[in-house]
Order: sequence, then C-alpha cells, then structure tokens
Amino acid sequence: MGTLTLNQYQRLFSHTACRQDHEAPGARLVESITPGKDLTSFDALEVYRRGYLVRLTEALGETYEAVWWVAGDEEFFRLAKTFIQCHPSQTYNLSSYGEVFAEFLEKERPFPDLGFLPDLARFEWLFKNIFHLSQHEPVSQETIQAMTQQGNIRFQFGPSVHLFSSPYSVYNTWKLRGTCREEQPQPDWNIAQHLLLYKKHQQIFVKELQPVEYSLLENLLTGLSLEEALDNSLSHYPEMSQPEISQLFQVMIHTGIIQNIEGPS
Amino acid sequence: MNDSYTEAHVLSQPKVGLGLRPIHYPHLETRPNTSVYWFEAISENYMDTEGRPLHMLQLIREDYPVALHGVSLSIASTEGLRPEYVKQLKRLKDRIEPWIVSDHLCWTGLQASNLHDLLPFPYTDEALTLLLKHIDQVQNALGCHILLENVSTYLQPPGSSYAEWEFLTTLAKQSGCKLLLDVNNLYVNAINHRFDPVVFLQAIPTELIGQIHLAGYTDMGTYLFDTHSKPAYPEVWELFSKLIARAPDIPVLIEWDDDIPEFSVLEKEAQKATQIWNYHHGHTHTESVSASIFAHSL
Repeated sequence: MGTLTLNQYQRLFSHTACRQDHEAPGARLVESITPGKDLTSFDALEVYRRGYLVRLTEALGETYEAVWWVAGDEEFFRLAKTFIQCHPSQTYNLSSYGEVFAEFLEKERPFPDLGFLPDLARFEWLFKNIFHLSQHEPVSQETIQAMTQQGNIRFQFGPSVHLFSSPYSVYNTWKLRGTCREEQPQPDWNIAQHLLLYKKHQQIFVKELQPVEYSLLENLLTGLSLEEALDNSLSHYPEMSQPEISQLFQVMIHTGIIQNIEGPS
Repeated sequence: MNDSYTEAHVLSQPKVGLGLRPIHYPHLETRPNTSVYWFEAISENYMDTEGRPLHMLQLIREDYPVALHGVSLSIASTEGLRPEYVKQLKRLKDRIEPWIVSDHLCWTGLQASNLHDLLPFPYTDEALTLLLKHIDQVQNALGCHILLENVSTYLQPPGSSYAEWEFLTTLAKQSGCKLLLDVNNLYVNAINHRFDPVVFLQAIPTELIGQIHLAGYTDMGTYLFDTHSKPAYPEVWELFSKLIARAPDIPVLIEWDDDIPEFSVLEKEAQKATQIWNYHHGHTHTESVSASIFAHSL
C-alpha cells in the first residue's frame, strides 16, 4: 500500500466490508493486506463483511422479533440484508439500529397481503424505546381523588406512557412471537387496536382501550385540560357516556400512569 | 486526575470478575452470594437507557466494584471521537463510579457506516500520533485514565512499522493509559499471524497492564475466530499463568458473550483463575492445579 494514509485505508476497508455481493472488494486492499493463518486475502476481508451483516441482522432481529416471526427466517434474513445495504448504521449503539425499518417495509411492501407489517414494526420500535425509558413514581389515588374535586385539572403522565393505534391487530400478532408459527391458526390481522403502553415495576404493560377511551387519553396526553379534552373527544364521539369516562379514569388510576396533576390556574 | 482504579486497588488477593450479561439478571436480582470479586458491564448497554439495564447495573454496583467496558469508542478512527458518545459515557461513569473504564484499541467503522466491529489498523507513527491525541481527549473528558484492549484480527493491514506488542507498549507509555490485555486475543493473533505469544507476553511491562481478559475462541480451520462462546483453552490458561505469576495485583475477567452458560459455569471459570493465582501467590499451593486446568504442564 505504501502511500495510503490511515484515513484512506479506513475508507477503503469500510467500503469493502459494506460492499454488495456483486461488487468486488477493493483490489488495492486485497493486494496489500496480509491474511491471517490459512485465509486468502479475499476470505480475510470476508470475515469482516460477514460479521457486519450478521451483527446488524441480529440487531434487527432483536428489535423486530414479531416481524421476523411473521416473515419467517428466510424472508426476514433477505429483508434484513436489503435493508442493511440501503441503510448503513450511523449510530454508535448497535441496539439503536433500524429506526426506519417500518418505513422500509412500507415502501418495499415485501408481502402485499400482509399490510400490517409496517405497523407491527412501529409497535416493536416503540416497545424497545419504552423499555429504555425511566419509570415514574405515580401519584397516589388519594391525591387524584382530592385534585379531581378542584375542577379543570391537567394531568402529567410518566415518560414511559405512550399510545399506539393501528387498523390492524398488531398487539395480538406481537403476542404470538416466540410461538411455533405452524401451530398457530392464521390470526385475523384486520381488527383495529388502540393501545396504552406504560411501565410498572420495571416491566412494560400493554392495555387495550376502546376508541373513545383512546381519544380522551390522547387529548389528555397532549396536555389539554380535563375540560378541553372532554370537549374535544365529545366532538368526535358525541355518544360518549359518563360510565365510559369513569371507566377510563379507573384505568388511569389503577395503571399508575399519572405522574402529577396540576390544579386550575 | 481522579483515578478510581488506583483508589480501589487492593493488594495481594485474586481479583477475578465476570461480565455482567442480561441473561443472568434474574439470578443476580436475588443478590446471591457469589465468588465474584467484581463485574464488567458493556458500557453501551447502559449508556442510553433509564430502564431495567441501568437499574440492574446500579443494583450490582451496590455490592461489587464495576468496570465499564466499551465497544464503540472507535479511538483509532481518523474521523475523530463522537462527542455524544463521550458525553454519554461520562454521564454513565459519573453515575456508576466504576473502578475501571476501558474500550478497545481499534476503530469500528465510519460514522456514516458504522461496522460495529473491532477493526485492525496499521501500527504506524501516524496511528500512534492520532491515538495519543484521542486518548488525551477521552481521559480529559472522563476525568480518569482509560484502559485499551488488544483485539483479535484476521488480517494485517499494510504499512505497520511496529509489532503489535511494541505498539501497545509505546502507546501506553506515551499516553498514560493502561492496557487491558486480553490473553485470548493475544493467543488468537499469535496463531493467525504466526508469532510466539510468549514473546508478546514478555515484551509488555506488567506495570502497563491494568486488567486481564480471558475467553474462548473458535477454531474455524483456516483461522482462529474470537467468539467468546467457549471456556478459555488450555493454551490461554497457560499464558495467563505466566502473566499472573509476574503480576499478582491485576484484575482478571472471564468474558463470555455467545452461547452464555448458567452463572454457576462462569463462576467455575472464575475459580480456575483464582486457583492459578493461588498456585503462584497463595499461602497454600494447590498441587493439582496444573493437572486439572492445563492440558500441558505449567
């Protein structure tokens, strides 16, 4: 190599390790390296190229376990390889790789009859992120009851509290991951699910909500006051009843998702 | 410079630790009595989380010294250090107060296409100058000395003007960092690149070594592959024995990253290291140590 600077060497090496199957490794690199033990130069470089694909595929598989379950091994590995070649990792943390996998599935549509896959991937990415979020200390039931007497209050929710909605039954599908796919009856993908995700005792819980509950909680999560949230949800769900509202408040209390309550200013 | 490593250094007892791995969280959460002196955590697994991994690390830290061992510093990268990485590492270091902070003597890819691997670079003056600058930056940012680990490689880049052990020694002497000497990696490279591992071992002054790693490789036929998926081989134990005979105070770690067995299996590996330490430095020599651990004589 002789005249190659360290920077030039690293660029050449990196390009060779990321290269696609039909591309030849950089001749200058192949000719100048000394392969280990009984490897050829080509094979020595392949050790690094294979390792790159394996590591990134494993990272995707760890995050998108349910997408893998639905796609099956062969298709998932094919998809992962295509994704990795189109989307090199720019993160220092391998477990953060694959943020745009859902968009990739949306665009690629590898299974035209499985339109729910992008939503399933979005759910899994959200789940992974919630796993790494801190767990708040919920306000006590007594505080909630006392504050609700004060009228137009605002709720602050814990950082791990998130909503997820899909026209597909992503949560039901996600729960099947890890089971033997052949033994499962074909799930009905086309059932809408409205979900509340939150953490308690360092574990993530998922609770299915009715659309009206979801709407009200969504409004509260955006920071609207209770009155504003109710008005907003009533405009979309005029049939919303007092028992439904009470039911949601019971959920909010029992799940411990409220971190703080602000009284009327 | 605050050096927590030196502060926590207790003389003349074997200091054998294990890698903290998520598969053992359920066991360790019960806070069992273990024969482990300390734990090593992969920095990246705890840098960007406020969830269970951090909670577990803090729990472990209550009972044990902890080392933070990174895989993504990419200190030999010509693109420089990632400021956000160093910032997050400093934040974790301040939270955990580790007795050792370490990473690898390598680069991991380009920032636009990170290979997430421990990649070889030529041992040149250019690389030495770059590394001295980066080590200084990291040590200043963290406020402590770091350790850098020798990595396994499957090819030798062109242009090296130093042997690996010469480069390591020169770097440690000039930078003030210490070496994390991975005996398995040393052996893997000795076979892959056809040099005598004992020459390597004897060339490194023990005062430059801040920690030892022990692990297992996989023989791929045409090369040895650093997989950390097996117990250390007899040849590696033998090199370790030669090293620990000269340097009794260096902390030792059993590394196992793939096909990770039950915690008790790792404890037995740690006990092997302790046995060898006792053979050289203990009050009671264990006569059967060579027969039980090495395939070859000490």
